[in-house]
Amino acid sequence: MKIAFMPSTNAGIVIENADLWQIYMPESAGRMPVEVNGKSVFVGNPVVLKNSKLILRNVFVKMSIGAIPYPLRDFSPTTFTSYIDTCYVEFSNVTAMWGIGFATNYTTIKMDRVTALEFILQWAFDTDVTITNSAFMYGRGIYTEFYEAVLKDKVVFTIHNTTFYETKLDNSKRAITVYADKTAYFDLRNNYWGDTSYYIQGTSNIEVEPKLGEPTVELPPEITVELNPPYPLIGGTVELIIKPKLENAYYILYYWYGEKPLITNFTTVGILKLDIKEETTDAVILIHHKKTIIKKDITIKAINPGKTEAMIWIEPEPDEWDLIYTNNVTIKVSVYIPLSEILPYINVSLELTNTLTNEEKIYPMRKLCEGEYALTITLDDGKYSGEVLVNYPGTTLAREEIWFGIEAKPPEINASCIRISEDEIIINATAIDMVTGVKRITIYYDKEKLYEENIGGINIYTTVYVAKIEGVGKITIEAEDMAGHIGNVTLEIPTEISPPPPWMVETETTTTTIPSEENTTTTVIEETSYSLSTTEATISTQETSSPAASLTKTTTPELLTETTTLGITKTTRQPPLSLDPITITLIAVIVASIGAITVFVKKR
Amino acid sequence: MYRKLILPAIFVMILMFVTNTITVTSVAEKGTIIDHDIEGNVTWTKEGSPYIITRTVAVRGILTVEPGVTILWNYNVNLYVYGKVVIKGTSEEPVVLNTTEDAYRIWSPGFIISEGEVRIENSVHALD
Repeated sequence: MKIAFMPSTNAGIVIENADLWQIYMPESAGRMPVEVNGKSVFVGNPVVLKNSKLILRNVFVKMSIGAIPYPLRDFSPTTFTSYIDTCYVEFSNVTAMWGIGFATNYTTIKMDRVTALEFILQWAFDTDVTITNSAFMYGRGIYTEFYEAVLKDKVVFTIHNTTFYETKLDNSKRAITVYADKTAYFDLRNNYWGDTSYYIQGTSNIEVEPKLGEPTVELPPEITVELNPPYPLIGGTVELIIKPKLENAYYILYYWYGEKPLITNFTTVGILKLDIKEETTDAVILIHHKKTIIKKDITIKAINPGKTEAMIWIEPEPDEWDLIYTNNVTIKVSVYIPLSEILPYINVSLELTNTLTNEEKIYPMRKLCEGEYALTITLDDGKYSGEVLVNYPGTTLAREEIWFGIEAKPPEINASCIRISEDEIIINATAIDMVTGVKRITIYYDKEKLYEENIGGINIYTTVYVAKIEGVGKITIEAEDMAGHIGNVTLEIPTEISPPPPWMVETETTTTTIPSEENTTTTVIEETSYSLSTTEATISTQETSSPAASLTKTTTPELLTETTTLGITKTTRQPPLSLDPITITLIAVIVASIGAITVFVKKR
Repeated sequence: MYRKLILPAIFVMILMFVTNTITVTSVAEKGTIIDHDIEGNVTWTKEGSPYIITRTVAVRGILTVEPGVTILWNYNVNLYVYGKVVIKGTSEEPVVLNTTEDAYRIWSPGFIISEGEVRIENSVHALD
């Protein structure tokens, strides 16, 4: 809010020692009417302040005094200002961060120690102006369209001991532009003009010399504004950091969304904050420093988080399910962003998951050059999925999925060999390759191929029984994965005879209903286990108590089993349904008993 | 029957007349609501602060605002000054002029002076 003085007459307004937003007076009717249905319509109030006094002492105003709608953006001072008529205006030690704007008639204006961007005296008739010890900087300076005496003999415009610096009007470095007639007298001596000039058109009398060689105020330093982050996100906040740090400075941030300026915050610390709502925000920082004003225009470009996925292209290498044949992996990422200015501020990381172990890690990628990133890591064999993340301060702008496999090692082989008799051995071998799978498993006896299996699978289990093995030797198990990596394991054939493995000597009782027949059943199971053959008929015909003897009937050592899948359990078979007479008798008794009971119950 | 209604009707009319002409100051939950014209000599004190101007009112007498007072304007309401407004803050206890939170508009007006005087000392405008 501002302190506003709407059309007032015979008013006495005195404001002392105040820190205000704005001393507002509405725009007055313009000198150019709007023609409506043949009638001339003047827009605005005819007079805002009439027969009044306006006295300001030690007043700081964050915006303007009078009516200056958009002085920070509009170089054309054609906006209508507040018309004051027959007034006395006295400003002493006043700062108006935007400026001061009036149009006057028969008025006296005295300003001492006034600091402002500009003073727009849109037109002034019969008005005497005295400005002393003041500073007008970075704005439009002083502008008057008409300055002349109508009722008085003359009007005097005096400016002394005042500094003009970096004032611009119509993009020219002018401190004063006045259109005046011969009744106006300009006393512009003893001022510092810097590199600005003055332009007074008409037949007025003007005295300018001497000029002051030094400014009457300390000229402000050059400032820079850093944005943090340099390209904020829409919906986020940006910090505007003003450098260098200034002692006893007062900072105000103005910004625009649409036509009207807004003020976001003000502070004595050189960091201002602005909430970003659009992709482009125009803002102005004004700094009050040592009785001067520094103005800095900024355009803030923001990133729209909703558009970044479409804006940013990520090309990772390897891409979808590429297979890498080394454990030292180099992943490359190319990032293409139309808003290339943000490239220096992004970083790229890789979230990688080993899908076999579910182990997840985040790796920062190193920057090769703008838009190119790389990561060299050592990974175990496995299948990996992940996301390439393009990170920007405060958010992740875009992400891209990545999948690949590491296939650098041959299948993992676990094998054992036991001797179960003087000339019989059993080899158990497991080959695992979780990435591409096992293509082949081959078993050698002293370089002589005993057995080979060509069945693809992640996990291959093989049990091989070999007879007629004489003496000692070496068994080599070789496995090859789909990528062609070959691994092998060599075992010494043990000399000691070991008891047969459990699956060969199955002692588990599978028939529990008739404990008295346990021995018989066990015998069957043993025969079944030893035979390892494929037919139940073979099993049922074995009557020997010697497992070794029964096995010798299978005389081809290369092909004793077709068991290729996991686990011994597959080789453990249930006893065949061969019922002996006792069992049949028992079942018959039970059935007969149930029948008798049923008949008895029915009769009852 | 109509005679029976005449007396209460007159009573209601008198009541309406009185409430329209007599200044009634309602005390807000925190602060004082100003929804009436100010006549005579009126002083706004720190104890009654904040003073919330909820509609355009006229100051026909002398309104004195003591140090430490906060004055809040609703949106689009004015203080017509036909008399005198003296806002006397001190550097230790300035008078704060602001808008109400609901009505926050940086363009809303404040004083309209006619044959009157506004004197403001040691005041601050606060944005928040």
